Amino acid sequence: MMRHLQLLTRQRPRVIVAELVVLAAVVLAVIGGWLAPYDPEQPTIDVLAGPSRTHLLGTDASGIDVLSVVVAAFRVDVLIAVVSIGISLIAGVGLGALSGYSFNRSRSAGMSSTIILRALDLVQSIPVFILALALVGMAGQSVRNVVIAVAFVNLPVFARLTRSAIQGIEHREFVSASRAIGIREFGILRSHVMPNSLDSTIAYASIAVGGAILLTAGLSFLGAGVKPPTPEWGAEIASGSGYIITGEWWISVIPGIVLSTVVLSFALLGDGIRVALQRAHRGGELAEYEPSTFIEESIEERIGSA
Amino acid sequence: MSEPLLQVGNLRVSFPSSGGPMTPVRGISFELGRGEIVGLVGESGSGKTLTGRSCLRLVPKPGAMEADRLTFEDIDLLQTSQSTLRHLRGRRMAMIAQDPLTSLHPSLRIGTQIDNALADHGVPRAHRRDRILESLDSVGLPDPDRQAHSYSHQLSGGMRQRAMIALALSNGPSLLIADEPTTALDATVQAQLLGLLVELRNHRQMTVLLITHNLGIIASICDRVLVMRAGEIVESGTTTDVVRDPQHDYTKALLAAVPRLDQPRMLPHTVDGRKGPPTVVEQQTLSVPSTAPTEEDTQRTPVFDLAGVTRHFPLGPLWRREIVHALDDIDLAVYQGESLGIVGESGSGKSTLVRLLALLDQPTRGTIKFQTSELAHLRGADLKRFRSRVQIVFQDPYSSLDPRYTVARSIQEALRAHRVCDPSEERGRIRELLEQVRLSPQFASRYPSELSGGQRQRVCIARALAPRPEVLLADEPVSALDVSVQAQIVELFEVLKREENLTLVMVAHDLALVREMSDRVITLYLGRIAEEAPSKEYADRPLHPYSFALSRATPDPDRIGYLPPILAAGEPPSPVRPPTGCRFHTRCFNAQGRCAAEVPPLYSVNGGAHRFACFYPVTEEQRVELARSGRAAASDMPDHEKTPTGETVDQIREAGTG
Repeated sequence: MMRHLQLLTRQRPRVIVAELVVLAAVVLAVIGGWLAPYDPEQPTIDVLAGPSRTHLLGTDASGIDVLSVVVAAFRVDVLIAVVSIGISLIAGVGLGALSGYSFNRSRSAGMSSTIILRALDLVQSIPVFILALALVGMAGQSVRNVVIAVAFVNLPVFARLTRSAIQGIEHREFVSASRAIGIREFGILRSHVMPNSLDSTIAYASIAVGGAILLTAGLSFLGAGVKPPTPEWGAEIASGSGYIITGEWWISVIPGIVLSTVVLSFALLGDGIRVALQRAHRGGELAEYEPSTFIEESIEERIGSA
Repeated sequence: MSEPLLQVGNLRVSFPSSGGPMTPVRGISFELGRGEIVGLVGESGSGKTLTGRSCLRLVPKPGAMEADRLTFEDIDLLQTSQSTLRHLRGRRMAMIAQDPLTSLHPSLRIGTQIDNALADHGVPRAHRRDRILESLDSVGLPDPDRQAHSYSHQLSGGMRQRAMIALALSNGPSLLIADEPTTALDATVQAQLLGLLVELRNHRQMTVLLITHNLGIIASICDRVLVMRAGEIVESGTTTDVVRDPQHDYTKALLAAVPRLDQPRMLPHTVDGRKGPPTVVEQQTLSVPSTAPTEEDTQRTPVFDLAGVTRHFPLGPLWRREIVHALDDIDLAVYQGESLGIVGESGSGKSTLVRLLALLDQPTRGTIKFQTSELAHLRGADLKRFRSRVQIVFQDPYSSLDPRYTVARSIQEALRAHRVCDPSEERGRIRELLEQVRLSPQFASRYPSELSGGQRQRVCIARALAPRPEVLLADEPVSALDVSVQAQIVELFEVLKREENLTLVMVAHDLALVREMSDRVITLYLGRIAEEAPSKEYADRPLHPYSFALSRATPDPDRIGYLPPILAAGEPPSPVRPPTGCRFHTRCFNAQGRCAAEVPPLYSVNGGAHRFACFYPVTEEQRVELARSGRAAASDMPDHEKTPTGETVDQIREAGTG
């Protein structure tokens, strides 16, 4: 546990900042609704009011408090993104494992691998955004359907990442060693191959959460995402976009800044995790120069008493 | 000796680390004279590579280098600017690294790379073409024009290393720093490369700093030696002095640890520093001479019985499918209680054979029987029983342990898989196994990353012993380890074999090592058995020309200035398109027309104990002839005039045909 915590604390400053933003985003996703000063779904009489004492970040065209929307939208956007990436991660890793691991060159595993890969090709051949639009359009604009759509379009990437990592690990000799000991193939996959191949996938998941937030907001921006009046960044940006030219910038710009900050932070966090995991696995690149690693059993000792 | 070419005074290299700075090089001083080959020998972590790089001021970041003196010719390298240094590197001093595959640019033709090197040092375009061909020619690459247009992946390992040397030498440097230049190569190819280095020195008066862990190489071509240990030079002197009469204990131990082809090793026990008296087991080993068991000892019941075993790997897409002939028609029996050594160069199929025996792979054709049951038909409980009886130890101890498993957990996995003992007894059994491989029980809670190579290999052995196997297979179990550690692991195998009454099948490319550990030796060449013989006979009287070439290709630390003769020309052909007839005929000194047309059967002599697949085996005269000519090249002539070894091959050829 301490070792895992260190992955997060021993980081470059910008990653630390990103971690704090992500932490804040997750906290706001849970309690954001209660912090909102006004009801984010109820209009007030102040329409298009600029930032002031009563409305810190102004109001939009329907008189809804922008701060309340921005804060409450954490729940919608971050939650959708995290849940959908969670689903995507589990399903993708599963599919990736089935398609990547050869099960000691079993023929049926080879066939199922081909089927999975071609299916992934099919999904990936359609642009992500258009596919998501189509899915939500077909199934209807509910939070659940957006989650499913976002999860679905992200799945192939996780599957492929896992697959390639697993193929790299399967050639390591400890896999052969386990086979020679007589561990069953599923056992090897579960206890040796998977734990050693999830690093890059986990690191990518964080980056993908950022992407998923962007996708969720993008769908709403086009009116194809979560139904209004549910508070949502993309919808709010869209609703304010017509007013920027007349000077009411806050409606679009404020949610826009929040959105990009959160997305960037998830990406930075993912990158930080990736670098930290790499470092942890190399075990410090200087280890090979360190005399103490070989002294113990080398001739050193024999000379000692000779 | 004239004024030295390179002078190094009190060189130190340090790296920052979490526990304060580390100093892998701790104040070493040495000089290199013009036209000298100086060996820098040491084990991994001794700082020898860093020392070599420091001479060019190429210490990798974040390392920092300091020295009181570093002069090349009359240039003070400590004071020169980066741009001057850059001019010196390549033109006046050059470096070649161990792995030519990673040091050559993968997407530039060899010629282009040399061209770039020449252009960087201001050679006019008009001259470059000739210079490229000249430098490729000087390293003995056949058909330089074609090689110049090849990419590095199109060349074999030895050719690549030659190309690398050609690149390094293109600007005519006077100092060459060669970092383990032959470690990645096969023995017969290594012999060729060593000859090349000597030739270059003789013709160009080049100075070579040869960094290696191999004392045989040092003895065969170096004029002087520097022995490094833990960042310090512990001994230096002429090769003869250091090898014949080592002063420092470390040098002595290092020399003692090298396996010898023609004599039993001075067991490392003589310098054993383990605290306390030797255990009972060790005393037994000391007193029991390492001889092959006699006919009566070995019950001649085969454990493994292979008939016509063939393994082909398909390569490439269906419409351009090629076949890798990893193994072809192997007939072989492994007997209860014996140790069988399998030798061969890369591509000989030796690892494939072991993997087949371990049932990690299935043969394309042929049958493998374990005791009475055929491997291909094992299922369920029978398979499980087989797994517990046959265990394997792999070459690379760095990848054969799961990095996320502690030592105890790795061993425990093996115990549980076969329900060897009650879960309550597991801890005790793990402790026992660790003790058996001479590791203290405190290692149980460590992760592989916290262990050295030798310790990891011990853990792998402990894991293999966990289900109490009858047969232990080992695929190059020590080739990734330092010489001194090798000696310990070899010793451990020998002890375990006796303690557990194991049948041992060991693959190695180091003939001396196999000879020492096995009762019987098999040579594989490109997937076929070339020779099979009791190990003593194998070492004394190899009959197949390939075994003979292999056994004479290893430089021997006891024969100073003896350059191994090149008996097998060129390099092993690709197993994708093996030569017709006898697969060795393309490199053989005895080959005649028949060899290319017919596959030689396995002839046997000595009551069937000694088998070989050759129409024209090595004759007694050839053996004598070679022993004389090889030695003469070294001892009768001064060092500079050592004959390039090509001549001996011709002599042998004559002897063979006449």
